[in-house]
Amino acid sequence: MNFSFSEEHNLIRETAKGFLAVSSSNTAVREWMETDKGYEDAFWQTLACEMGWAMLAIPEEYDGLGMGYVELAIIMEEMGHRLTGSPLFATICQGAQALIQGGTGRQKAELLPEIAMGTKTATLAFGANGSFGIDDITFEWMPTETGYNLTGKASQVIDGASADIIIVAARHKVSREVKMFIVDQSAVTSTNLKTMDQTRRMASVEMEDISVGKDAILEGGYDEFVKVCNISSIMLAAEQLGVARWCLDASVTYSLDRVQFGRAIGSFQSIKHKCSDMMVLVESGISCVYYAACVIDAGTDELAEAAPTAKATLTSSAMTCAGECIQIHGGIGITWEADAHLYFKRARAGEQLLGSPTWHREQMAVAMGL
Amino acid sequence: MELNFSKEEEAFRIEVRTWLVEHLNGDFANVKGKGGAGEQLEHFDERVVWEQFLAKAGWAAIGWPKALGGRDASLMEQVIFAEEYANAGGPGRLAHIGLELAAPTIMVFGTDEQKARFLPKIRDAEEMWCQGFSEPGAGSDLSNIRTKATLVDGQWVIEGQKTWTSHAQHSDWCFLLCRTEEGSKNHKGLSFLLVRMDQAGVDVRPIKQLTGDAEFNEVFFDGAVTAEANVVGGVGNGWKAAMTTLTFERGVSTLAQQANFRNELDEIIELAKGNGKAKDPLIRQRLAEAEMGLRVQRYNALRTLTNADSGTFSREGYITKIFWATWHRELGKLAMDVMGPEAELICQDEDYKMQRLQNLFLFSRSDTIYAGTNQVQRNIIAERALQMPKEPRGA
Repeated sequence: MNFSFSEEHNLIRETAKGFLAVSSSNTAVREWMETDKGYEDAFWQTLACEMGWAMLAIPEEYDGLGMGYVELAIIMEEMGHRLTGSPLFATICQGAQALIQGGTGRQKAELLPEIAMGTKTATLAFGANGSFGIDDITFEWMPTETGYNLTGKASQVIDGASADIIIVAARHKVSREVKMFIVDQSAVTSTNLKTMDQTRRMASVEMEDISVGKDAILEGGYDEFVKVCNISSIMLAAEQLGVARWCLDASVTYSLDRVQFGRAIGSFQSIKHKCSDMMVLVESGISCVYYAACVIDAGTDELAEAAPTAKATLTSSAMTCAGECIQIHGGIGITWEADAHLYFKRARAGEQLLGSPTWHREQMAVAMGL
Repeated sequence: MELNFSKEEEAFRIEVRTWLVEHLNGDFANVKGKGGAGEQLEHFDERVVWEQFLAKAGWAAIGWPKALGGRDASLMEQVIFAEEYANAGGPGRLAHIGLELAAPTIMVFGTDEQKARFLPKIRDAEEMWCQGFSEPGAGSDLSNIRTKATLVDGQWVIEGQKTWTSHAQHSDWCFLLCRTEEGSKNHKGLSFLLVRMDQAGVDVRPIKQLTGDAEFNEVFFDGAVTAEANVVGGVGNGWKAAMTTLTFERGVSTLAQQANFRNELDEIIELAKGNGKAKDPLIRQRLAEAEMGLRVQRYNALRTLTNADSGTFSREGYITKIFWATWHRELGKLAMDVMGPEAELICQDEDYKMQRLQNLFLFSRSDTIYAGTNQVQRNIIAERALQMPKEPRGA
């Protein structure tokens, strides 16, 4: 039993922190918010290739670095901390995950090396509710002579309008068997949606009776789909941990700077106690996220409990911390100029994405035999 | 990071489990599952015999050095023992104040004579201990202690009052924080004395608590005495010794709790399944949330432990107390809501006796108060972990 960060983990984190402090400044974040894709291609190339973040968790046989999910979670946490605009989450934690967990050898060999190099981006489209139960899937498939026919519409697909490859999870029209399919962006109708959180792009993805070839179907079915979503839930939790941590740090810094009644407001117990409560959420969140990341690495069934625990806990924590952060900042906290609202909106978006805390608690209740 | 226990640790787990299961279903079946929260006095004498039996078999103080009769067990092994102990229904420990608070402090600050005199009897459960820290005017503000000890003819003479003293009524010794320097204030001029309880100048009066039981006591010292040599860490260094003791109280001794929490939560889950409350969507949410909270406590403890093993005390260590206390208090409320109207009915064949979960509900209100209230914990987190300004003291 050893549950602490290694020298190598610390090095990865420090490198990421140092890099993002310069390249993902709040000026940069606000510029990305104005772009169509929500990120810049050149910057994505830097992240993917030079920093090696796209290849980090891709197996070595597909030109990745073959590192684990603890390493990936560190990157996600630091990117959440800086609200970095990039297709990393959708590409690696969703699209590539589906291929890794459910793809055939040929599909992996064909697509993963390009994803690892940052030349292809990907995402996962499956529904409209955020949650990923079998009834939440809004696409249907039917076999045809030459392959498969897909139809349906998903809302709020992350990077759905920009991802080169869309992995679509669909239910068989009759038997309801769930399968995943590789679909090219050019084959779908995708439309960017205007969202409250501007630091991540969401799109609707629609397919009306489109045909894909026999080689488009993944081997994996519903179990693999759920596993992919559980893994991405944990990585989203890591991102939300970064959000919560920023809110705590910003609150402490601001409260030590801001003077009222002749003293720093951070010297009042009412403010100190708020910050303490935030630290309880952040520190327990670190334990929770990295335990869950270890569970992914271990490949055990505990994933079915570790994922809802991480997702429900961290998205609630991020929301609480982001709310308190605005409160502690006072009037400035509700201005456009201060960054607090960007984190508040990101926390809120993450709460619904991939299943609300309520939904994840219900998954846990089921796992508990209730 | 490696979440699995090593082969050696798993072998140790099996050894512990086998021994506990054998004896708790054999000669000691009568104490199995006894002495939980709010029921600390249940089957007292039999549990003392059990403690002594544990000691003889070498299981009482496994974390102690071998030279002192322990097993030199690593922190991870101590956790394994605690988990197995709770899983096997081991009764609430009675010797823990001596084992986990008095002894470690004596090991760090005591003289060789003190170690030789006190440690073996603590280990063997031959002498029980209580903690004399809190006073009516010194709770959260512990350094405001007034109980004083004066050297008269080679022995300390003690005057004053302690309160919230668990197990005082059947303790042989008390470790007492008191003022040994006339006119001193706050944390200066305090000493950490070891005082025999069975003497004329010590009067123990039980405090009846909200459950109707009396597990705490007031202890009055009126001319009680102890030898000059029974001061730990030197005269005037009591605060330092006491703070070390509290580190033990807030650290290692909370670990065993999680396995007990597991048993309590499982009992509530079973109850909910049995009486249909498990179908209530809001109860389901709260049960799941409780489950998640307990898991997070375990993750956090594993992280604290790994860091402690490598000698670092990082930020997560600060959240342990407030997290478990708050969680446990919520669990008590949840237990009542799962019981429904039944929760109001206490044991019908006795005068005023709570059922198990009612005890949990009532007694868990003390969790966020003792060993540093939630408010004090928040101050500690803010001031030490977040480096925010310290509270000003009143004049």
